[in-house]
Amino acid sequence: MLFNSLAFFCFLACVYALYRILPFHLQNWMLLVAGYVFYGFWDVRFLFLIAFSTTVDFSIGMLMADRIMTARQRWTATLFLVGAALFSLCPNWLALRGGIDGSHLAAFFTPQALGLRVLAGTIVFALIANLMIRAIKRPPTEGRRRFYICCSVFVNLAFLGFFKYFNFFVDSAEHALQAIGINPVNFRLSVVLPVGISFYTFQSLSYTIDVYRRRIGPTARFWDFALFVAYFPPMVAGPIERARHLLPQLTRPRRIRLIQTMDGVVLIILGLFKKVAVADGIAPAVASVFASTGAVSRSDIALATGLFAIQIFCDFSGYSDIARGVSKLFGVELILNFDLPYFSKNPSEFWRRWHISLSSWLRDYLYIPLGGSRGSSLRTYCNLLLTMLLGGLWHGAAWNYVLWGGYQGALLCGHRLVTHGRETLPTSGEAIRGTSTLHGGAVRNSRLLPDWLSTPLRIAVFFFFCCYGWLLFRAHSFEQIKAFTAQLLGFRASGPSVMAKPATSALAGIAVLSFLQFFDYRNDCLESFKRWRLPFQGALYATLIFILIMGTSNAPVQFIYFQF
Amino acid sequence: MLPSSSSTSSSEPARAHGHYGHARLRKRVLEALLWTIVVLASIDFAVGLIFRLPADARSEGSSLQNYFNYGRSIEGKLRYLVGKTPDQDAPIVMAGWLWQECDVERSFPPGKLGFDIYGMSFSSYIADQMTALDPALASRKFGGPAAPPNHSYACFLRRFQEKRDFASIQILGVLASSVRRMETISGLTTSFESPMPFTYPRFSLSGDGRLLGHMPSIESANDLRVALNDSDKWRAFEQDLAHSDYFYSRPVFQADVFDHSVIARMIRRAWGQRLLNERTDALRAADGFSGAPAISRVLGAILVDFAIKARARGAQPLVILIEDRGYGESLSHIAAPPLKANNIEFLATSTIVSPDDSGNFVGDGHFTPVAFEKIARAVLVLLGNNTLHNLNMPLPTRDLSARNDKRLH
Repeated sequence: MLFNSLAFFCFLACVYALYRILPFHLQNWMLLVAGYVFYGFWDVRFLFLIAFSTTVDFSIGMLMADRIMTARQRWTATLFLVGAALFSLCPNWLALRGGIDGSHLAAFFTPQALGLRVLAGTIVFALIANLMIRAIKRPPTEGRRRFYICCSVFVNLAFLGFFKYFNFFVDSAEHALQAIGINPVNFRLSVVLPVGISFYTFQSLSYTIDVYRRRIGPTARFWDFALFVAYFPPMVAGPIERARHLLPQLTRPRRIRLIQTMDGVVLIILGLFKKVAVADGIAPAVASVFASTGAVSRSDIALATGLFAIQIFCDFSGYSDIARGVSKLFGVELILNFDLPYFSKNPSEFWRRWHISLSSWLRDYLYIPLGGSRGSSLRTYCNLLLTMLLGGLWHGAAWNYVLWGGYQGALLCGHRLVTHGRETLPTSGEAIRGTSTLHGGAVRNSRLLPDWLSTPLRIAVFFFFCCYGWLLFRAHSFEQIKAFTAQLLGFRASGPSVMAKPATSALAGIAVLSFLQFFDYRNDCLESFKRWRLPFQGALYATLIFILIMGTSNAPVQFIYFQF
Repeated sequence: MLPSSSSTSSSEPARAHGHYGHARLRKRVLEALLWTIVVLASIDFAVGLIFRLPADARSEGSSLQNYFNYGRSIEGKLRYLVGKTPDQDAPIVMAGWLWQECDVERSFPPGKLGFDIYGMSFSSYIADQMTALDPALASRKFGGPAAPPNHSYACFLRRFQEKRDFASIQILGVLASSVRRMETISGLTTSFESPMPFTYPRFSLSGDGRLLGHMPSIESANDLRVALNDSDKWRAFEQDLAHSDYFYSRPVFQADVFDHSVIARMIRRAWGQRLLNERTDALRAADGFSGAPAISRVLGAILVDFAIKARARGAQPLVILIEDRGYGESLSHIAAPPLKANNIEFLATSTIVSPDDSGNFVGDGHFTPVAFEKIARAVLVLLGNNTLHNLNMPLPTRDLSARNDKRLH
């Protein structure tokens, strides 16, 4: 179910209406069911993956604490997991795509061989796990806690690795073996990538790691944890929530305030405006250049890359805005994911402003455990590079994402080298906007130029570097990266112009969005238009809605980050 | 450390109204809503006024004037485009009508080898490139904007039945993106943003495999003019569309009060596009039009009958399968088998220029001049080496249908 679809808004209307009339404990049940319906809309079969992650991480969370899982908790988790296998994998859900008549229903109820095997495996797994857990009578030792967290990391990454990276690594290994003259057997599997698997896997994983680190206590109620994993607004494309932030909001009664609802509605409009009017309006123009296999003009490449920078920002931050807006309707605040990223003056600042929930996740669970910047300079550079390479790989199973991650890592290393380590990735405990990096950054360079000149200059220069990163990200092959780079550098003759014209809504939208972002930057405050006088606010909302309606005739494009 | 709540709270926008009481807050929300509605209505009115269509339909409106009118109902657009008299009509009103395009007698210049080509702008460009490459050739072009095979075939049939002058080479161009229009009877519904009023028959197959054509009640621009002022005739035409046009949709077609609002027009445009895409997807073009198997059968029958009749008049038939962007090789998949089975010469353009490479297309969806030239050269090769005396190109070692075979299997 796409946020920019009519089906979603019908779904949201139903969920919201039910939410308003139900008491608190039923609200959570309803939100949990809604999460599963929302995700099951893509493919019901993948609900099992979420159920498995939920059950394993909940149980491990409990085991790592000084608590023993009660029989009730064990039974709940067991029945939930077995029920999920039975419900999502045994019927032939694909049969219902053809209709709901007699023959299709008969096909639906025909048990699936794979489903039955998974069900049997799940039952065996649950029995063994229950027997083992029952045998545990003492609080866990440090060694055992380490074992548990390794299990959690292994299970989550195994799912992620199999569904997302299996074919990628098989292909890469095949190519490597072929390069040395060996023709290996084809191990490729037709694996379908579950939507948003990276997001909910990281979210769930952060819970067990935080419990392991004793940053948070485990939640004792299975259904609360299930809701934390399956809370639908941020489920498939973030923000990647942390248990410490989201779980308390889900477990205590919420009071819906008018101001929060209004903020939510404004965020939904803003998010739809970014996605429908701007990102979808730009997409065909960008695709026309990157889908071309022949030579294209230099200006096309430059313009398409610049436009892709805007497209991916509007696409992704649009999703985050809608997710945050929808969540506000339920009285739940999600973390901020974008903070005027294209006003960054250097790569370090960029990663404090772009996809904040992922960069802070990588920082907390990868960069810092690797040693962060505490070791030698060489070690720090290695840590930075490795973190960004894996961050790149997180985005997708393709070498251009790895290259993009490496490029971002190189930019961070280069920047660290130039600033002599005074400006690095945000350190532990640094609040994301608390560093006040909006004007001037954390480092006060020796000023050769006045601020009013150096700041826009630094922003422009970094935007240029950032755009080249997006070229790596968007390109579909190494050959294209090489060809486009050679053309941009003038090593290759420019070809004909093939770029399609961006939609009118996108051109109007970019103008309005640039104005709003600049205004926010100048005022050092997001959504600063809420300070405007009401007639001006009304005029802005009307303009956004008008351009959004203009954009409704753009061909809808799936959110870019769904594939991650 | 987690960004946790600090990242949320610090990210919150200015709470300029955080200190307001509930009643005052509610009042502010209502006020903001009111202002939004007032400004939205003002924008609607202002944009409608500034970007209204030119009073004279013959003058071309600016791109923004057209943009804000794409969502006007088809009937609303027709009432604007069709004048009281033919000289007041917009140019598009006169395009593509069968009696006008196909009944005209044009002779070839003396000393030139003439060929007739039926189709649309793509086939016209190919013909131009062919005559440019070989000045010994001359073309006679029959077609309509984005015309489907049923229009081209009806045009050919008309000339055949009326025993008009036939060139020794008869070429039929079939455009991949127009194959879906075989389920229509006019250029109105599938391009509702810029409707093309010309009509043509929709063909079906009888029990014994004969082609049966159903022609709508309106056959000329003048018929259309009359019908627009005669509610009975207009209703009859609408019933024709509702009955025979797969893409007909009443809310998109009929003029109503929403034509007066820019916002309503834009919403109708989006809705119309969505409907069009849904219905096009339901045909499953990529899967050999499995959603409407009649399309493949009728197209096959049209192509075979075209070749039989052309041969009966002593002409060499040739079919060009023009595979434009977004349709892959779907056309080849359905059209090549009957063509091969009946030994009809054909060329699938996907063997020359890839439909998946945007570098082969210009902004309006046509091939680039270079791509058209490549296709024209391939057509000339296929027609026979006797027409190649003026070409500075190596003679082919093999005709292109072998390449078609390779790609199709």
